[in-house]
Amino acid sequence: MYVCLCRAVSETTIVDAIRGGATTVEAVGQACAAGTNCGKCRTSIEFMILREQELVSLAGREQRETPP
Amino acid sequence: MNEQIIEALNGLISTELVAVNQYFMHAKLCDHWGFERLASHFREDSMEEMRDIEAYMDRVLLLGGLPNLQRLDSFQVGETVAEAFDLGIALETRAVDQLKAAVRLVDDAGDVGTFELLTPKVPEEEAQLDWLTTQKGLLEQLGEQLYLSLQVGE
Repeated sequence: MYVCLCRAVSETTIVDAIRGGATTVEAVGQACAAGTNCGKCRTSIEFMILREQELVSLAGREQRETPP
Repeated sequence: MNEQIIEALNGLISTELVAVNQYFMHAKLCDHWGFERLASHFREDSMEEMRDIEAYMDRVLLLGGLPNLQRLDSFQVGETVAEAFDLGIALETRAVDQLKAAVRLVDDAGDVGTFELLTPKVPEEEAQLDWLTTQKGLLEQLGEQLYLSLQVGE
């Protein structure tokens, strides 16, 4: 779905930017322009960054806890 | 007390403004994708929400306030019909809760006029939510291809 309507940026593109190393709303903006116009979607982008970080840490924990 | 009621009505207006825009956007997208039946339903829902806004604006003015059409919350737009339903369900669920809270507020305040205005809106919003939920269910049960093939044409 489109998260940033001003720049027509979809959730997938933003997630790609975050997985590509963007850890702040500004960095996401630089990577894909999302959130750089009216700024109304910035809260959603912040939420997505937190969600991705949570997913990464969950995956890390799973790997450590799963016996080989 | 009137200020609190005016604020609640303006809150409803904000949510309805999002609904007007989100539904209209999805109507135009569905039309663009060729799902004309869905498009006309979303379009009608958008118009319905606009009529609600008009009624809430009239009430705010009657109570001595100024309707706030400037406060538009952010919303998202679906890239698929399934996403449009999910976004609609999330929005309409929030709208129904907000409307019920407003009904309780005006009931406690003894504002019978606003109460009479708001109560019939509850089943209307619930019907919109029900339609969206049913469509999502149909899409899942029939499969996307079959469901969407039924939405092509006037």
